[in-house]
Amino acid sequence: MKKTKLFLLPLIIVLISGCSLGVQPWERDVLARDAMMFDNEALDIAFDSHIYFSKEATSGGSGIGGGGCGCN
Amino acid sequence: MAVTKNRLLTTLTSACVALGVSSSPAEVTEVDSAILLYSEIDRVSLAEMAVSAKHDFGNERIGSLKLVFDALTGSSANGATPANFAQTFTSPSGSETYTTAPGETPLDGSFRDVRGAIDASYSFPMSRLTKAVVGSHFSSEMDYTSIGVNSSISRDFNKRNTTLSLGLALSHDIINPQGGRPDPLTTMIDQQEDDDDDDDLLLNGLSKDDDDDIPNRLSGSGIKNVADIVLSLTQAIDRNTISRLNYSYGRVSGYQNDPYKFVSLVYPDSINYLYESRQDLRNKHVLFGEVKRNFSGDVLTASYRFMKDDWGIKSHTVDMRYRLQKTDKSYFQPHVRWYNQSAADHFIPYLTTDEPIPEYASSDYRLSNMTAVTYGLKYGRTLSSGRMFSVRLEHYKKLKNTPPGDVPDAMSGLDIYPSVDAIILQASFSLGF
Repeated sequence: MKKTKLFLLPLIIVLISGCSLGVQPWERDVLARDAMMFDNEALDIAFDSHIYFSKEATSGGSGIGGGGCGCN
Repeated sequence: MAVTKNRLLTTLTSACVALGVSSSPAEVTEVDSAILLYSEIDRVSLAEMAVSAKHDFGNERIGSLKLVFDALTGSSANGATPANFAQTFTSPSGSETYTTAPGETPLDGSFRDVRGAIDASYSFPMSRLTKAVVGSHFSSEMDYTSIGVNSSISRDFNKRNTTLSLGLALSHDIINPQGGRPDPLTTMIDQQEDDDDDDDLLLNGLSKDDDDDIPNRLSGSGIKNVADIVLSLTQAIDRNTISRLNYSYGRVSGYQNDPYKFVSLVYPDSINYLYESRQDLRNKHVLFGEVKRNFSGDVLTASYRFMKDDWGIKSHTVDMRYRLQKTDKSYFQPHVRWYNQSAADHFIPYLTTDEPIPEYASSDYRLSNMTAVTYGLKYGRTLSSGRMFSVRLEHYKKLKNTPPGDVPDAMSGLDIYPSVDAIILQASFSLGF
Protein backbone atom coordinates (compact mmCIF):
# COMPACT_ATOMS: atom_id res chain seq x y z
CA MET A 1 0.00 0.00 0.00
CA LYS A 2 2.83 2.35 0.94
CA LYS A 3 4.62 1.60 -2.34
CA THR A 4 1.48 2.40 -4.32
CA LYS A 5 1.28 5.80 -2.64
CA LEU A 6 4.94 6.41 -3.42
CA PHE A 7 4.43 5.76 -7.13
CA LEU A 8 1.30 7.93 -7.23
CA LEU A 9 3.04 10.91 -5.69
CA PRO A 10 4.79 12.17 -8.89
CA LEU A 11 1.53 11.77 -10.81
CA ILE A 12 -0.39 13.81 -8.26
CA ILE A 13 2.25 16.52 -8.39
CA VAL A 14 2.02 16.63 -12.19
CA LEU A 15 -1.74 17.04 -12.03
CA ILE A 16 -1.48 19.78 -9.43
CA SER A 17 1.31 21.53 -11.31
CA GLY A 18 -0.70 21.55 -14.49
CA CYS A 19 -3.30 23.64 -12.72
CA SER A 20 -1.46 26.61 -11.31
CA LEU A 21 2.30 26.28 -10.89
CA GLY A 22 4.82 27.73 -13.29
CA VAL A 23 5.61 30.91 -15.17
CA GLN A 24 4.97 32.44 -18.55
CA PRO A 25 7.73 32.02 -21.16
CA TRP A 26 8.76 35.69 -20.81
CA GLU A 27 9.11 35.32 -17.04
CA ARG A 28 11.93 32.80 -17.13
CA ASP A 29 14.86 35.18 -16.76
CA VAL A 30 15.71 34.11 -13.21
CA LEU A 31 15.10 30.41 -13.84
CA ALA A 32 17.42 30.62 -16.87
CA ARG A 33 20.42 31.68 -14.77
CA ASP A 34 23.22 29.11 -14.51
CA ALA A 35 22.92 29.12 -10.71
CA MET A 36 19.29 27.97 -11.03
CA MET A 37 20.19 24.91 -13.15
CA PHE A 38 20.24 21.57 -11.36
CA ASP A 39 23.43 20.57 -13.17
CA ASN A 40 25.36 23.82 -12.77
CA GLU A 41 27.92 22.18 -10.47
CA ALA A 42 28.17 18.86 -12.29
CA LEU A 43 31.85 18.19 -11.51
CA ASP A 44 31.39 19.04 -7.82
CA ILE A 45 28.46 16.65 -7.65
CA ALA A 46 30.41 13.92 -9.48
CA PHE A 47 33.37 14.28 -7.10
CA ASP A 48 31.07 14.22 -4.08
CA SER A 49 29.27 11.16 -5.42
CA HIS A 50 32.61 9.36 -5.73
CA ILE A 51 33.58 10.29 -2.16
CA TYR A 52 30.28 9.40 -0.54
CA PHE A 53 29.91 6.20 -2.60
CA SER A 54 33.17 5.03 -1.08
CA LYS A 55 32.30 6.07 2.50
CA GLU A 56 28.59 5.37 2.90
CA ALA A 57 26.04 2.74 1.93
CA THR A 58 23.91 5.09 -0.17
CA SER A 59 24.58 6.38 -3.66
CA GLY A 60 22.69 7.94 -6.54
CA GLY A 61 19.25 9.46 -6.49
CA SER A 62 19.93 12.69 -8.36
CA GLY A 63 20.28 11.18 -11.83
CA ILE A 64 21.65 8.39 -13.94
CA GLY A 65 24.98 7.72 -15.57
CA GLY A 66 28.50 7.46 -14.23
CA GLY A 67 30.50 4.37 -13.57
CA GLY A 68 31.19 2.11 -10.63
CA CYS A 69 34.41 1.74 -8.77
CA GLY A 70 35.98 -0.56 -6.22
CA CYS A 71 36.37 2.34 -3.84
CA ASN A 72 38.03 1.99 -0.46
CA MET B 1 22.31 49.70 -18.25
CA ALA B 2 24.47 46.73 -19.17
CA VAL B 3 22.73 44.67 -16.54
CA THR B 4 19.35 45.65 -17.94
CA LYS B 5 20.44 44.61 -21.46
CA ASN B 6 21.77 41.31 -20.20
CA ARG B 7 18.56 40.66 -18.32
CA LEU B 8 16.51 41.47 -21.42
CA LEU B 9 18.64 39.15 -23.53
CA THR B 10 18.34 36.37 -20.97
CA THR B 11 14.58 36.83 -20.81
CA LEU B 12 14.20 36.74 -24.59
CA THR B 13 16.48 33.74 -24.93
CA SER B 14 14.74 31.76 -22.21
CA ALA B 15 11.35 32.71 -23.63
CA CYS B 16 12.42 31.47 -27.07
CA VAL B 17 13.64 28.20 -25.55
CA ALA B 18 10.44 27.85 -23.57
CA LEU B 19 8.39 28.37 -26.70
CA GLY B 20 10.42 25.80 -28.58
CA VAL B 21 12.09 28.32 -30.87
CA SER B 22 15.77 27.62 -31.35
CA SER B 23 17.76 30.70 -30.51
CA SER B 24 21.25 29.30 -30.07
CA PRO B 25 23.86 30.24 -32.62
CA ALA B 26 25.15 26.62 -32.47
CA GLU B 27 28.72 25.37 -32.47
CA VAL B 28 29.40 26.43 -28.90
CA THR B 29 31.79 24.46 -26.72
CA GLU B 30 32.05 24.65 -22.93
CA VAL B 31 34.90 23.06 -21.03
CA ASP B 32 34.94 22.44 -17.28
CA SER B 33 37.97 21.14 -15.45
CA ALA B 34 38.62 20.44 -11.80
CA ILE B 35 41.11 18.87 -9.47
CA LEU B 36 40.15 17.38 -6.13
CA LEU B 37 42.30 16.46 -3.15
CA TYR B 38 40.69 14.27 -0.50
CA SER B 39 42.61 13.29 2.58
CA GLU B 40 41.56 11.37 5.66
CA ILE B 41 43.62 11.87 8.76
CA ASP B 42 45.99 8.87 9.06
CA ARG B 43 44.07 7.03 6.32
CA VAL B 44 43.55 7.24 2.54
CA SER B 45 44.38 10.18 0.31
CA LEU B 46 42.92 10.70 -3.12
CA ALA B 47 43.86 13.03 -5.97
CA GLU B 48 41.29 13.23 -8.74
CA MET B 49 41.25 15.23 -11.96
CA ALA B 50 38.32 15.66 -14.33
CA VAL B 51 37.83 17.43 -17.63
CA SER B 52 34.38 17.74 -19.12
CA ALA B 53 33.57 19.17 -22.55
CA LYS B 54 30.12 19.94 -23.86
CA HIS B 55 29.55 20.91 -27.48
CA ASP B 56 26.32 22.38 -28.81
CA PHE B 57 25.87 21.23 -32.40
CA GLY B 58 22.81 23.43 -32.81
CA ASN B 59 19.11 22.56 -32.88
CA GLU B 60 19.34 21.32 -29.28
CA ARG B 61 21.83 18.60 -30.17
CA ILE B 62 24.50 18.44 -27.48
CA GLY B 63 27.41 16.05 -27.10
CA SER B 64 29.33 15.63 -23.84
CA LEU B 65 32.59 13.93 -22.99
CA LYS B 66 34.18 13.59 -19.57
CA LEU B 67 37.56 12.19 -18.64
CA VAL B 68 38.49 11.35 -15.04
CA PHE B 69 41.76 10.20 -13.57
CA ASP B 70 42.41 9.52 -9.92
CA ALA B 71 45.11 8.07 -7.72
CA LEU B 72 44.55 6.56 -4.26
CA THR B 73 47.08 5.80 -1.60
CA GLY B 74 47.20 5.27 2.16
CA SER B 75 45.54 3.13 4.78
CA SER B 76 42.04 1.71 4.84
CA ALA B 77 40.23 0.00 7.71
CA ASN B 78 40.34 -3.76 7.10
CA GLY B 79 37.17 -4.46 9.09
CA ALA B 80 38.82 -6.26 11.99
CA THR B 81 38.08 -4.96 15.46
CA PRO B 82 40.79 -3.31 17.58
CA ALA B 83 42.14 -5.45 20.40
CA ASN B 84 44.10 -5.10 23.61
CA PHE B 85 47.01 -6.91 22.01
CA ALA B 86 48.97 -6.55 18.78
CA GLN B 87 47.34 -8.09 15.72
CA THR B 88 49.13 -9.32 12.60
CA PHE B 89 47.38 -9.51 9.24
CA THR B 90 48.31 -10.85 5.84
CA SER B 91 48.16 -8.26 3.07
CA PRO B 92 45.71 -8.85 0.17
CA SER B 93 48.53 -10.09 -2.04
CA GLY B 94 49.27 -12.82 0.48
CA SER B 95 52.96 -12.06 0.36
CA GLU B 96 53.37 -9.59 3.22
CA THR B 97 52.16 -8.98 6.73
CA TYR B 98 51.40 -5.88 8.76
CA THR B 99 50.90 -5.49 12.48
CA THR B 100 48.44 -3.26 14.31
CA ALA B 101 49.43 -1.98 17.76
CA PRO B 102 47.25 -2.75 20.80
CA GLY B 103 44.20 -0.51 20.97
CA GLU B 104 44.54 0.74 17.38
CA THR B 105 42.00 0.30 14.58
CA PRO B 106 43.47 -2.22 12.11
CA LEU B 107 44.37 -0.40 8.90
CA ASP B 108 45.78 -1.96 5.77
CA GLY B 109 48.40 0.46 4.54
CA SER B 110 49.08 -1.33 1.28
CA PHE B 111 46.40 0.37 -0.83
CA ARG B 112 47.69 1.88 -4.05
CA ASP B 113 45.39 2.31 -6.99
CA VAL B 114 44.90 4.46 -10.06
CA ARG B 115 41.68 4.78 -12.02
CA GLY B 116 40.82 6.18 -15.40
CA ALA B 117 37.24 6.77 -16.54
CA ILE B 118 35.50 8.12 -19.60
CA ASP B 119 31.86 9.14 -19.92
CA ALA B 120 30.17 10.17 -23.15
CA SER B 121 26.62 11.26 -23.87
CA TYR B 122 24.57 12.77 -26.66
CA SER B 123 21.23 14.50 -26.31
CA PHE B 124 18.91 15.29 -29.17
CA PRO B 125 15.28 16.34 -29.71
CA MET B 126 12.75 13.74 -30.77
CA SER B 127 10.02 16.31 -31.20
CA ARG B 128 9.41 19.91 -30.17
CA LEU B 129 8.77 18.88 -26.56
CA THR B 130 10.55 15.56 -26.29
CA LYS B 131 14.27 15.03 -25.80
CA ALA B 132 16.38 11.88 -25.59
CA VAL B 133 19.83 11.25 -24.13
CA VAL B 134 22.09 8.26 -24.79
CA GLY B 135 25.33 7.71 -22.93
CA SER B 136 28.02 5.25 -21.97
CA HIS B 137 30.85 4.95 -19.49
CA PHE B 138 34.00 2.95 -19.03
CA SER B 139 36.32 2.96 -16.04
CA SER B 140 39.31 0.87 -15.17
CA GLU B 141 41.49 0.50 -12.11
CA MET B 142 43.94 -2.16 -11.02
CA ASP B 143 41.33 -4.54 -9.61
CA TYR B 144 38.04 -3.20 -11.00
CA THR B 145 36.59 -2.55 -14.44
CA SER B 146 33.19 -1.06 -15.14
CA ILE B 147 31.40 -0.60 -18.43
CA GLY B 148 27.90 0.70 -18.89
CA VAL B 149 25.26 2.37 -20.99
CA ASN B 150 22.42 4.70 -20.11
CA SER B 151 19.52 6.36 -21.81
CA SER B 152 16.71 8.69 -20.87
CA ILE B 153 13.76 10.35 -22.49
CA SER B 154 12.08 13.51 -21.25
CA ARG B 155 9.00 15.45 -22.24
CA ASP B 156 7.93 18.97 -21.37
CA PHE B 157 4.38 19.89 -20.38
CA ASN B 158 2.52 22.91 -19.14
CA LYS B 159 4.36 25.61 -21.15
CA ARG B 160 7.61 23.80 -20.33
CA ASN B 161 7.08 24.39 -16.64
CA THR B 162 6.88 20.65 -16.07
CA THR B 163 9.32 18.03 -17.33
CA LEU B 164 8.82 14.32 -16.85
CA SER B 165 11.69 11.99 -17.65
CA LEU B 166 12.45 8.31 -17.50
CA GLY B 167 16.01 6.99 -17.46
CA LEU B 168 17.65 3.58 -17.52
CA ALA B 169 21.28 2.77 -16.73
CA LEU B 170 23.00 -0.62 -16.99
CA SER B 171 26.46 -1.38 -15.75
CA HIS B 172 28.64 -4.48 -15.90
CA ASP B 173 31.51 -4.58 -13.41
CA ILE B 174 34.42 -7.03 -13.31
CA ILE B 175 36.35 -7.46 -10.06
CA ASN B 176 39.82 -8.99 -9.92
CA PRO B 177 41.12 -8.36 -6.41
CA GLN B 178 44.79 -8.31 -5.66
CA GLY B 179 45.70 -11.84 -4.58
CA GLY B 180 42.45 -13.32 -5.89
CA ARG B 181 38.92 -13.45 -4.49
CA PRO B 182 38.78 -14.87 -0.96
CA ASP B 183 36.26 -17.59 -0.26
CA PRO B 184 33.75 -15.90 2.09
CA LEU B 185 33.96 -16.74 5.79
CA THR B 186 37.12 -18.76 5.41
CA THR B 187 40.10 -17.95 7.57
CA MET B 188 42.61 -15.31 6.59
CA ILE B 189 45.72 -16.75 5.04
CA ASP B 190 48.33 -16.83 7.75
CA GLN B 191 51.35 -15.85 5.75
CA GLN B 192 53.65 -16.50 8.67
CA GLU B 193 52.64 -20.14 8.81
CA ASP B 194 52.45 -20.76 5.07
CA ASP B 195 55.16 -22.49 3.23
CA ASP B 196 56.46 -21.19 -0.05
CA ASP B 197 54.46 -23.60 -2.20
CA ASP B 198 51.19 -22.49 -0.67
CA ASP B 199 52.09 -18.86 -1.22
CA ASP B 200 52.82 -19.50 -4.87
CA LEU B 201 49.45 -21.15 -5.36
CA LEU B 202 47.58 -18.33 -3.66
CA LEU B 203 49.45 -15.60 -5.48
CA ASN B 204 48.36 -17.19 -8.73
CA GLY B 205 44.73 -17.21 -7.61
CA LEU B 206 44.52 -21.01 -7.66
CA SER B 207 42.46 -23.09 -5.28
CA LYS B 208 44.19 -25.28 -2.81
CA ASP B 209 43.26 -28.77 -1.80
CA ASP B 210 40.10 -29.09 0.23
CA ASP B 211 41.90 -30.89 3.00
CA ASP B 212 44.32 -28.02 3.38
CA ASP B 213 43.45 -25.89 6.42
CA ILE B 214 44.41 -22.64 4.64
CA PRO B 215 41.46 -20.98 2.95
CA ASN B 216 40.74 -21.13 -0.73
CA ARG B 217 40.49 -18.46 -3.33
CA LEU B 218 37.47 -18.41 -5.63
CA SER B 219 38.27 -19.02 -9.25
CA GLY B 220 37.67 -16.45 -11.96
CA SER B 221 36.65 -12.82 -11.77
CA GLY B 222 33.84 -11.43 -9.67
CA ILE B 223 30.98 -10.13 -11.79
CA LYS B 224 28.51 -7.48 -10.68
CA ASN B 225 25.60 -6.20 -12.74
CA VAL B 226 23.81 -2.98 -11.86
CA ALA B 227 20.51 -1.74 -13.29
CA ASP B 228 18.97 1.60 -12.34
CA ILE B 229 15.65 3.09 -13.38
CA VAL B 230 14.98 6.74 -12.60
CA LEU B 231 11.65 8.53 -12.90
CA SER B 232 12.08 12.28 -12.60
CA LEU B 233 9.69 15.19 -12.37
CA THR B 234 10.97 18.78 -12.68
CA GLN B 235 8.57 21.60 -11.90
CA ALA B 236 8.96 25.38 -12.10
CA ILE B 237 7.03 26.67 -9.09
CA ASP B 238 7.20 30.41 -9.70
CA ARG B 239 9.55 32.99 -11.18
CA ASN B 240 12.16 32.33 -8.46
CA THR B 241 11.69 28.68 -7.60
CA ILE B 242 12.23 25.39 -9.36
CA SER B 243 12.01 21.88 -7.94
CA ARG B 244 12.45 18.27 -8.89
CA LEU B 245 11.49 14.92 -7.50
CA ASN B 246 13.21 11.67 -8.47
CA TYR B 247 12.32 8.11 -7.70
CA SER B 248 14.91 5.51 -8.59
CA TYR B 249 15.04 1.78 -8.28
CA GLY B 250 18.37 0.01 -8.40
CA ARG B 251 19.14 -3.67 -8.59
CA VAL B 252 22.66 -4.88 -7.91
CA SER B 253 23.38 -8.55 -8.52
CA GLY B 254 26.55 -10.60 -8.34
CA TYR B 255 29.79 -10.27 -6.41
CA GLN B 256 29.38 -7.55 -3.76
CA ASN B 257 31.95 -8.58 -1.15
CA ASP B 258 34.79 -6.28 -0.34
CA PRO B 259 37.65 -8.77 -0.82
CA TYR B 260 39.94 -6.78 1.46
CA LYS B 261 37.69 -6.77 4.51
CA PHE B 262 37.82 -9.13 7.49
CA VAL B 263 35.40 -10.07 10.24
CA SER B 264 36.98 -10.76 13.63
CA LEU B 265 36.05 -14.05 15.25
CA VAL B 266 36.79 -13.42 18.92
CA TYR B 267 37.89 -16.27 21.18
CA PRO B 268 38.40 -15.81 24.93
CA ASP B 269 42.13 -15.33 24.50
CA SER B 270 42.70 -14.73 20.79
CA ILE B 271 41.11 -13.50 17.56
CA ASN B 272 40.76 -15.24 14.25
CA TYR B 273 40.02 -13.37 10.99
CA LEU B 274 37.45 -14.44 8.42
CA TYR B 275 36.84 -12.96 4.98
CA GLU B 276 33.53 -11.13 4.87
CA SER B 277 30.40 -12.47 3.19
CA ARG B 278 27.63 -10.33 1.66
CA GLN B 279 24.45 -11.23 -0.13
CA ASP B 280 24.73 -11.26 -3.91
CA LEU B 281 21.49 -9.38 -4.55
CA ARG B 282 20.57 -5.89 -3.41
CA ASN B 283 17.43 -3.94 -4.34
CA LYS B 284 17.44 -0.22 -3.59
CA HIS B 285 14.70 2.39 -3.63
CA VAL B 286 15.70 6.05 -3.55
CA LEU B 287 13.45 9.09 -3.30
CA PHE B 288 15.21 12.39 -3.95
CA GLY B 289 13.74 15.88 -3.81
CA GLU B 290 15.51 19.14 -4.54
CA VAL B 291 14.47 22.77 -4.69
CA LYS B 292 16.26 25.91 -5.86
CA ARG B 293 15.06 29.31 -4.76
CA ASN B 294 16.33 32.70 -5.84
CA PHE B 295 16.50 35.42 -3.18
CA SER B 296 17.36 38.70 -4.92
CA GLY B 297 20.28 37.13 -6.74
CA ASP B 298 21.30 34.68 -4.01
CA VAL B 299 20.35 31.06 -4.59
CA LEU B 300 19.41 28.43 -2.02
CA THR B 301 19.72 24.81 -3.10
CA ALA B 302 18.22 22.30 -0.69
CA SER B 303 17.74 18.57 -1.15
CA TYR B 304 16.59 15.54 0.75
CA ARG B 305 17.19 11.90 -0.13
CA PHE B 306 15.69 8.79 1.39
CA MET B 307 17.05 5.35 0.59
CA LYS B 308 15.78 1.94 1.59
CA ASP B 309 17.16 -1.40 0.49
CA ASP B 310 16.52 -5.06 1.15
CA TRP B 311 19.77 -5.37 3.09
CA GLY B 312 17.93 -3.57 5.89
CA ILE B 313 19.58 -0.19 5.38
CA LYS B 314 17.59 3.03 5.55
CA SER B 315 19.30 6.36 5.05
CA HIS B 316 18.48 10.06 5.12
CA THR B 317 20.57 12.76 3.44
CA VAL B 318 19.96 16.49 3.81
CA ASP B 319 22.08 18.84 1.71
CA MET B 320 21.96 22.66 1.67
CA ARG B 321 23.99 25.21 -0.30
CA TYR B 322 23.48 28.94 -0.23
CA ARG B 323 25.07 30.88 -3.08
CA LEU B 324 25.70 34.34 -1.71
CA GLN B 325 26.20 36.61 -4.72
CA LYS B 326 28.83 39.04 -3.52
CA THR B 327 29.08 41.00 -6.77
CA ASP B 328 27.97 40.35 -10.34
CA LYS B 329 31.16 38.36 -10.80
CA SER B 330 31.84 36.63 -7.51
CA TYR B 331 30.06 34.58 -4.89
CA PHE B 332 30.54 32.64 -1.67
CA GLN B 333 28.68 29.39 -1.13
CA PRO B 334 28.48 27.75 2.30
CA HIS B 335 27.55 24.06 2.21
CA VAL B 336 26.16 21.76 4.90
CA ARG B 337 25.32 18.08 4.51
CA TRP B 338 23.96 15.64 7.07
CA TYR B 339 23.77 11.90 6.49
CA ASN B 340 22.42 9.09 8.64
CA GLN B 341 22.02 5.40 7.92
CA SER B 342 20.91 2.32 9.80
CA ALA B 343 23.02 -0.82 9.72
CA ALA B 344 22.69 -3.62 7.19
CA ASP B 345 21.15 -6.81 8.53
CA HIS B 346 24.40 -8.65 8.02
CA PHE B 347 26.59 -6.01 9.61
CA ILE B 348 28.25 -7.25 12.78
CA PRO B 349 31.19 -5.57 14.52
CA TYR B 350 32.69 -8.96 15.42
CA LEU B 351 31.73 -12.60 15.81
CA THR B 352 32.09 -14.62 18.97
CA THR B 353 32.23 -18.33 19.62
CA ASP B 354 28.99 -18.07 21.60
CA GLU B 355 26.94 -17.84 18.40
CA PRO B 356 27.05 -19.91 15.20
CA ILE B 357 28.69 -18.16 12.28
CA PRO B 358 25.95 -16.61 10.10
CA GLU B 359 25.70 -17.10 6.34
CA TYR B 360 26.37 -13.41 5.76
CA ALA B 361 28.59 -11.19 7.89
CA SER B 362 30.48 -7.98 7.28
CA SER B 363 32.24 -5.62 9.67
CA ASP B 364 32.72 -2.93 7.03
CA TYR B 365 31.86 0.28 8.89
CA ARG B 366 30.21 1.60 5.71
CA LEU B 367 27.41 -0.89 6.39
CA SER B 368 27.11 0.09 10.05
CA ASN B 369 24.74 2.43 11.78
CA MET B 370 26.40 5.78 11.17
CA THR B 371 26.02 9.53 10.98
CA ALA B 372 28.25 11.85 8.96
CA VAL B 373 28.35 15.61 8.49
CA THR B 374 30.02 17.78 5.88
CA TYR B 375 30.44 21.51 6.03
CA GLY B 376 32.45 23.79 3.82
CA LEU B 377 32.73 26.95 1.79
CA LYS B 378 33.12 27.60 -1.92
CA TYR B 379 34.28 30.79 -3.59
CA GLY B 380 33.63 31.41 -7.28
CA ARG B 381 34.67 34.23 -9.55
CA THR B 382 34.14 35.12 -13.19
CA LEU B 383 37.39 36.46 -14.60
CA SER B 384 37.66 39.41 -16.98
CA SER B 385 38.08 36.97 -19.86
CA GLY B 386 34.68 35.49 -19.04
CA ARG B 387 36.26 32.31 -17.72
CA MET B 388 35.15 31.05 -14.31
CA PHE B 389 37.25 29.91 -11.40
CA SER B 390 36.14 28.40 -8.10
CA VAL B 391 37.71 26.79 -5.08
CA ARG B 392 36.04 24.94 -2.22
CA LEU B 393 37.23 23.58 1.09
CA GLU B 394 35.15 21.13 3.09
CA HIS B 395 35.39 18.96 6.16
CA TYR B 396 33.75 15.52 6.20
CA LYS B 397 33.32 13.79 9.52
CA LYS B 398 31.92 10.36 10.20
CA LEU B 399 30.81 10.57 13.80
CA LYS B 400 31.74 8.03 16.41
CA ASN B 401 29.15 5.24 16.73
CA THR B 402 27.59 4.17 19.98
CA PRO B 403 29.64 1.23 21.26
CA PRO B 404 27.91 -2.08 22.02
CA GLY B 405 27.06 -2.72 25.65
CA ASP B 406 29.08 -5.80 26.47
CA VAL B 407 32.31 -6.47 24.64
CA PRO B 408 34.71 -9.40 25.02
CA ASP B 409 37.80 -8.89 27.16
CA ALA B 410 40.00 -8.77 24.06
CA MET B 411 38.59 -5.35 23.17
CA SER B 412 37.33 -4.11 26.50
CA GLY B 413 37.63 -0.34 26.88
CA LEU B 414 38.60 0.24 23.25
CA ASP B 415 37.04 2.56 20.70
CA ILE B 416 35.51 0.03 18.31
CA TYR B 417 33.82 2.65 16.10
CA PRO B 418 36.21 5.58 15.85
CA SER B 419 35.31 8.77 14.04
CA VAL B 420 36.82 9.48 10.62
CA ASP B 421 37.81 12.98 9.53
CA ALA B 422 38.57 14.05 5.97
CA ILE B 423 39.47 17.29 4.23
CA ILE B 424 38.16 18.00 0.72
CA LEU B 425 39.85 20.66 -1.41
CA GLN B 426 38.76 21.36 -4.97
CA ALA B 427 39.69 23.92 -7.60
CA SER B 428 37.66 24.31 -10.79
CA PHE B 429 38.12 26.24 -14.01
CA SER B 430 35.57 26.71 -16.77
CA LEU B 431 35.72 28.32 -20.17
CA GLY B 432 33.61 28.53 -23.27
CA PHE B 433 34.50 29.22 -26.90
